[in-house]
Amino acid sequence: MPSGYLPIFVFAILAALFPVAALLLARLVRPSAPNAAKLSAYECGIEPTSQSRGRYSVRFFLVAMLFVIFDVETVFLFPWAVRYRQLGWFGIAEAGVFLAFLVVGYVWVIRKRVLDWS
Amino acid sequence: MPVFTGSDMLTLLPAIVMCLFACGTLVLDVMGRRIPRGRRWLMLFGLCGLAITGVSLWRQWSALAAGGLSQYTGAQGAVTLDGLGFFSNALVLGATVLLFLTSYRFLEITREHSGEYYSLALFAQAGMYFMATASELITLFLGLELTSISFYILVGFTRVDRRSNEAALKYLLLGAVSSGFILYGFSLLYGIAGSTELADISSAVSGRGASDPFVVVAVVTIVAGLLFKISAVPFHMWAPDAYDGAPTPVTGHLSVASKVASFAVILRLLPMTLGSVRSLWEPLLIVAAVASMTVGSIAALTQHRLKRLFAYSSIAHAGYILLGIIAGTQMGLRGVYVYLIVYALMNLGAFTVLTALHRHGIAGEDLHDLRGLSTTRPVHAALFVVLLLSLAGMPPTAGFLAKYYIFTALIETRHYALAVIAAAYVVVSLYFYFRLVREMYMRPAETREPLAASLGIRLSLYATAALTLFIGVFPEPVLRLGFRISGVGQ
Repeated sequence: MPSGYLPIFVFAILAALFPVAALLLARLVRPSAPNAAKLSAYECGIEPTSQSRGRYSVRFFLVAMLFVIFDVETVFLFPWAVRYRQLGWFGIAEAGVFLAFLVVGYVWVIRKRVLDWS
Repeated sequence: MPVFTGSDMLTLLPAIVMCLFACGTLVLDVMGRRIPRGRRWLMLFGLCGLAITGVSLWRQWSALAAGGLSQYTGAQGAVTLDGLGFFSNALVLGATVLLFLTSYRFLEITREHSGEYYSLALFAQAGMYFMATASELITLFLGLELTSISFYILVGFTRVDRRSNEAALKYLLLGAVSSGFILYGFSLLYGIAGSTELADISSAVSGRGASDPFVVVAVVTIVAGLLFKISAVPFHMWAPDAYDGAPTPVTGHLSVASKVASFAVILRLLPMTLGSVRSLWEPLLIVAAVASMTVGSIAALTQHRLKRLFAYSSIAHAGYILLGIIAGTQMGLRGVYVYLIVYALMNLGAFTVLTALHRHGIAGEDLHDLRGLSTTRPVHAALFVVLLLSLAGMPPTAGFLAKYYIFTALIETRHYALAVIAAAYVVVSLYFYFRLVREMYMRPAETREPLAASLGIRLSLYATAALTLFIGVFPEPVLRLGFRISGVGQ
């Protein structure tokens, strides 16, 4: 029998209840004024459907990829932060190596002017 | 608390050097764009890295030889240094050196010269280092992916060439699927053993036996993924397109280095780790080997694009190498090692000639581009003939020796039918290799444009052709090496 999962179980129930509660509350409070634009998929000002073979600037792709890389970087740093004391200097050295590789990538990105929007 | 020990240093140093120099070439390239002839310095910097890697590999070999080829483990059991690992890494290192030597002129002509090329080649080499030495599934998979991703980009490196882009896309999509297969098999192995260490998996699988459904699915998916990596039939569809579209030096590297490292993975996973369920994977390998020899040899007959022809030829060679694993005896494994060395030499030599055919304004990728080479470049043509003879398996070249050991092992283990089929396809392959010879010697030249034979290209061509002949005439050192390496890790 796995133990120690009770907080996660409680958390899952809360996570399921929260949106239900929020939507119910909103329904009670808000004025009702439906229109067609509200039915579109996501209200961010961009046409929700278009040609699937449409072109877009390669910069979107680059920025998205860089975001993923530097976002995942933090994901890898969290476990180290949790076990920071136990791992000691070895952990610091490992994290240093990991970050050094990312810095190399960062320098390369800057010198290649990927982040240069002018 | 984990610490970095001397054993870690011994087992990891070559990979550390490769990664450092890979990062170094990246940074130096973007920092020193204005230095005159900077790209030549970049290549030399990369070669320095390879030299240091070579020294650290040599240290590994002397440690191995001093300890009677015993194993060294590092990184808390994630990496094992043994004969197989050293063998594959040394071969891959040689292939990368030849890649650097042959690429310079090619990249200048295609105007795609940048530090990323050398950096990616070094990263791929680091990946192949971990493919060959990993003794743990996660490390193995990371090595596989580092290699594959580097190669996806290298295949598409000539960005303005649509063919190169298409090749990279096809290779990426199919490669990702095959990696998925391997990963799925790995996850099942982890489920069976509760551990990612190959030693634990080996004992857990032999405890369950070959009739366990999880073992069956794991073995089948892993074999499928690995057969893709060595481009064995029926998982070969990507190879002709990827080889044809990739920059020629990259094609040579892809057909040699990644194949050698993938065979190291196969040797480590199948006979060494999953040896107890041999009855499961041996039939799969037999089917793949026969199909590879058939499709490779017969499809190559009608190709008129050179790289496509060599793609099918390398598919057929993968079939021959698989036969050595199927035989499974020490003789068979020695045959595999000897074959891999010889295959690396002759294939790299052949691709060096193809690289030299690529000149300003001439793609040099078609069979008729070879016409009249015997009159315009008699030395290159003669050396190419030596390499082709070796690829076809004719004495007195090294290719004969390689096939000889595979066939002997097959007959020893009573695989008579396989030996007959393999010998039949040697005859077929003679025909398509000699189509190239006919073009060179019996057709008049179409162009007087000299070959793009830079110093590096000439060096690598002379070295590979000379070694091919040398091993064919005086095979003793290579045989002894194969014997020593196949004696351990059983």
